[in-house]
Amino acid sequence: MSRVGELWDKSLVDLLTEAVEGAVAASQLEPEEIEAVFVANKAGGGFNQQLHLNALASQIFAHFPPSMRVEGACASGGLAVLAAEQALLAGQYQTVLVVGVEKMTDAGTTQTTEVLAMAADYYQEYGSTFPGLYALLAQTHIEQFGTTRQQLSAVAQKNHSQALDNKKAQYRREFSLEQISNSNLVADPLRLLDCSPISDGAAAVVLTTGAGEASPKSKRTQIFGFGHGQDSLDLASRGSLTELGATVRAAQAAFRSAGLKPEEIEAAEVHDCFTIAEILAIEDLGFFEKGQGGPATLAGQTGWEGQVVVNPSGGLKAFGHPIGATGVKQIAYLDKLITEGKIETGLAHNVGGSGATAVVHILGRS
Amino acid sequence: MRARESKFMNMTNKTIEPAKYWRMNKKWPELLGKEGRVVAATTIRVAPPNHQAAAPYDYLLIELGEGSRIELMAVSGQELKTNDKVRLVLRRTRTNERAGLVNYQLKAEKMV
Repeated sequence: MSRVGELWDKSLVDLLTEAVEGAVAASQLEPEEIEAVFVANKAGGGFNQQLHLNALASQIFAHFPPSMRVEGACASGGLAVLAAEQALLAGQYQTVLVVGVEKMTDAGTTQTTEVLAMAADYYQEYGSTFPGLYALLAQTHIEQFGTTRQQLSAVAQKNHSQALDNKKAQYRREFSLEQISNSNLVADPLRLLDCSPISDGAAAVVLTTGAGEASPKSKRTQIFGFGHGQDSLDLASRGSLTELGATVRAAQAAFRSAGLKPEEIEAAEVHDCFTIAEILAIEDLGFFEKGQGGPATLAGQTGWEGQVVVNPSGGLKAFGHPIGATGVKQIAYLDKLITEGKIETGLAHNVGGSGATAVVHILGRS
Repeated sequence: MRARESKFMNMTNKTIEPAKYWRMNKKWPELLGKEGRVVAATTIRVAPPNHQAAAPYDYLLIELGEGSRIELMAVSGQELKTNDKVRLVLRRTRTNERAGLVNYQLKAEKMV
């Protein structure tokens, strides 16, 4: 994983190369053992005037492994891991690399806003913004379950606090509930400090169906299961505004394939692009009953001393949200916690847009 | 200004894009004048580039009946909240562009 932030001195290719070389070195494999490369990136064309990233990733290797780019808005990373897993399970390859990358800060605010908006339905959601769409979800949650301003702020406060332990996080500083609750309104009820930042960053992981002899057994992480769910792109066509159906479907499939239950997960990296998104996620993933995500967060149930630690990395909110890299860095961070012996099982939850796409992975010590 | 900033004009050469304009607005005849109820509302204060001139503005999810829902910007100058009754109307779209054709779009107006 690269550091995440406003990395003015690193280009898109610099970030891509740093992540690929780092993951290959950490795997203790020879570069030529990588049989294929899967690249996650949302908008290299819009942000950097650079497409054809699969070729750029492949040419990092002397043997030019087959490579493809996967795009699914903010879920690009999770989808790329999924595509890699399917190729592995089909027996096409034994060892592959997945890299996610996004270089967002070279573009101005206007251009960035335009590029991000392309992940919403341009015709059906004309005039919307992503904070605006999540604000509609937040308003509905507030009205139906009494979720409070303080509960939303508690999500941001926790994630910023947990990012203090993550040296690669974009924002390693704490905020009080009052600072968060009094930050500028972006789309009512969401405020500036409810929102994840614009970030540069890259992350890569090596996946293998082999025995992984290169790594000591104590350092191996296994993917126990995964799931993928979809819903309509526009909110108006959704069956519910208080749950993300794509997340529910992805989680059910992931838990089924892993043979585990939500209460067996120790840590979860969830897609907290906005504070309400984390509350929705921890309910839709089955960690808490619907409507209880806010109170549980405020009560400390999603910290290290709680029922399940949510976003130990700081999440998108504080670790940062380099879009294409996010789903990969979630898995890379959980792998780090597992190999360091801090957790036994973890879950990664990556969402695209306002919830149309969701990918869930469950990992643990092999 | 980029071409995408207008709903139906190519702002670079000021020519209309009739096919895109028609595609975006072909549901006007069936929607215009319909009445509905606000299901969820927010006020967008940080707007996308093509709507900065209109900000802050309300953005709504509206129930039109028989399970049909639509997302729309609200007519400016009205405060809308959940359960308010609205009617769909045509209103001029404010853009940052001073010259060129006048844009119209479907918006939600509060019924009093």
